[in-house]
Amino acid sequence: MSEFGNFCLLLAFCLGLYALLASVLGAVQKQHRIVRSAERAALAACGSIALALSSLVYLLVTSDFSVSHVASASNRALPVYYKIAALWGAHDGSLLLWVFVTSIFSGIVIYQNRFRYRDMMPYVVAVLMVNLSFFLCLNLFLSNPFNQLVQANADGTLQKFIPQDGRGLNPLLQYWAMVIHPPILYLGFIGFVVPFAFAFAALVTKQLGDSWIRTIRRWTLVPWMFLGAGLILGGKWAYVEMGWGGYWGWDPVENASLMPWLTGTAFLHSVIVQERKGMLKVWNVFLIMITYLLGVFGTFITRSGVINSVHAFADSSLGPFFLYYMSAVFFVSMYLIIDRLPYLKSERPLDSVLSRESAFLFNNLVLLVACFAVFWGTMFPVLSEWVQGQKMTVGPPFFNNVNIPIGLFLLFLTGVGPLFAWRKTSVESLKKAFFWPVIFSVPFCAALMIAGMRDFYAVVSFTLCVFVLITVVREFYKGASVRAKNTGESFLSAIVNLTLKNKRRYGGYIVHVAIVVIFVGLTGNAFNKEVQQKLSKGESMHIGRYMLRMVDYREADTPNYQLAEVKLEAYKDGKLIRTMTPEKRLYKAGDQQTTTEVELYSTPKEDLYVVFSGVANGGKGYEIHAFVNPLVFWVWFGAAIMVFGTLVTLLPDRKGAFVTPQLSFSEAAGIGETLRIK
Amino acid sequence: MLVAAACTLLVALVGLYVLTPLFREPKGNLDVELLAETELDRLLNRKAVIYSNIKDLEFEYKMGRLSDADYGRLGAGYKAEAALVLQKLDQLGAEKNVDEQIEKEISVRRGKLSSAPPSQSAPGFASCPSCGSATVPGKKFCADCGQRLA
Repeated sequence: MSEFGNFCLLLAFCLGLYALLASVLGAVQKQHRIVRSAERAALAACGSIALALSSLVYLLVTSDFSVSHVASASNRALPVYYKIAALWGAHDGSLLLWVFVTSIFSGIVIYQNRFRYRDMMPYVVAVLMVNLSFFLCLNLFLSNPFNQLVQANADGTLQKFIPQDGRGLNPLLQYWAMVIHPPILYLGFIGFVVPFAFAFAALVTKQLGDSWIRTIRRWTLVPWMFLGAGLILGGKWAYVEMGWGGYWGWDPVENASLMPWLTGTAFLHSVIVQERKGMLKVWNVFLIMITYLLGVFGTFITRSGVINSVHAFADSSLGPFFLYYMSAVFFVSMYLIIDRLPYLKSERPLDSVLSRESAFLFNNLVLLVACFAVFWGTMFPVLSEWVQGQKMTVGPPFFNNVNIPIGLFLLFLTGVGPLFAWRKTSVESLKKAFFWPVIFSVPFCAALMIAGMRDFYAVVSFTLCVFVLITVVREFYKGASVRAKNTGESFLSAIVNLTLKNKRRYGGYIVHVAIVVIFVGLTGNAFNKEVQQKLSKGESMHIGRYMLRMVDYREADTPNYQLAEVKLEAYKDGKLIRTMTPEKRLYKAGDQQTTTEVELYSTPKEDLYVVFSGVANGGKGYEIHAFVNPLVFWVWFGAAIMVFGTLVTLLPDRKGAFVTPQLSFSEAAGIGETLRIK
Repeated sequence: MLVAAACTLLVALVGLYVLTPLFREPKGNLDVELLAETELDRLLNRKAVIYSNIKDLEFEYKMGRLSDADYGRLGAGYKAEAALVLQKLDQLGAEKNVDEQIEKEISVRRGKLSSAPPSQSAPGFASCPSCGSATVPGKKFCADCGQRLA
């Protein structure tokens, strides 16, 4: 089966190269049949990769340890679902999954547009195939999951080697969120190749009007949603598995996922300005290129071993190849952008600073500044090593000091942006728009101060959350009121129909609510408490309103690991709420890694997070590390709202929704009037 | 042995699937250039965007988000933009008969494709000398404006 898998991978690589050459040749010679053949080759490459992936899954499930990937990422005692998840438990298999996800995206785009955008599609196929062939090349020749294990004999000859058992899946990865987190993150990372491919094709064909922008609208939202969901799932995994009490540690790999999400967010906003006003064309092409490259950069960080991280596959030899690829993409794209500048001229200048356009522009700049700050902090160890010969890392304090104010400013813009009208807003209109949000948020801020909240950032954050929430609620309320009045619908059905009629705007507002909810959760960090204490049986410790009483300790053996757990009774305000059993595990396979299994008592108000750190005092005491983390629940809940809001914007349009909007008689008469005047 | 057979079969199937289009003209074979975005597409898209801007403006005004002065000024701006686009569309003759315009585009492209002079509109169809809309052969009057036809 490994030979078959390897062959499928090689076939896919050849098909990818053929599709690349044939699509360019077909475009240059304007030979439709060559382009069609190229598209079929690309689709066949997807099928071939799917076969290769299925072969590896089969090898994992049947525990064929003659294959190096299976031997290094799985073992016999693993449950079947973890055996499948072991596909991305080691570097080479994870790259195959990456290639598979890329091919799925490419295949869907090519199939979906087989009768559309015939002028651009050959170049879209070419870009998709360059991307696919690059990763296939790495997967085949530098990090092949189908490699066989061999051992050297005394006479120097090599022979096949089949170990009794595999080294096992990294215990840290044996968690449900980790099973779905990598594929979701990959969908996000690599999905940006589609909008980039269209942007590139638009540059090559000089079709830089609105059509490429309209085509990629959904193709930008989908990876953006997956990347966001992947980020939060990664946080959930870190929170439950790492046992340090938090969910975000500014780890290089976390940062690598955050950066394309930030630029992708900027693109989602600025593209609206181009659609409606014909502005920011160069900026949009540049942004989507940067977003795609940051996705590749994330892969580079994870796989190159350049930077140490809890998530990274260390010391892989792929680093230089990523650098060559990223440089080539950057320089070719920049050349094209510069060469096509005459086609990318703005159709109008910025009318006023007090306008929706400038709010979008501000939002873009701030997002880019945030992205640069994260980039700088992430790459600082490498840069400092180049300059000073000494690796210096910047820790969470740097990232927090820089990014908290930037994040709060972004939150402010989230609220303020929708209050501006397009083109120009008078101060009078602004006063009107700001009235209710300010009326609610200023007293709220005062109330927080009176209640004793002294953390500056927390007060600002909560106040801004109220401000943004009021602006969004008012948008829905006023919109639904007007609709209900015009159509005679009930208020509730007016809200639903208003959203469905303008899914993009109101879906976007739902995502804004999600951002507010996530900020509420993040702000909870300012009030975290932690206590570490040694307890003997019968003793207790206090943290906030909670008391933990040590009841029992036990050890047990399972096929996969040995465990030691303490039994604690958790009391809140003197009332027993539940019994908690945090564990420490020693995994038998591979490096015999130890992990901590956190016990959580989660409520919307706060999480009681308990870790069993180990046995102390020669078995007489047990080290307990307890945290009270307020409002963490809202981070996960906000992520769910974000996915919901994005899905609303992605809902298909009803038939005929693309027809030119019909104007009312008075509006049409207005245009007639203008025509006469002219 | 089995693996070799499976690989050979796979290559044969893939080869057949990929290379067939090279020897068979796909259905409705149009030149790749034919479906490129035209000036007409651009103007029609622009018109749709401006109309939706006007509708949004109207809605935001009803929501009480805009002062009367802002509403009047922005509305006039959009209407001037729309007027400009409509004028250009008129010049292209598109507003009166989009189908005819598309037919014309296709004829021009086909003419370019075969290096032959652009073909005239399809025989049997004519347009009204007054309003430009398509007329049905044999009819005495234009169905749109009532102009007597020759």
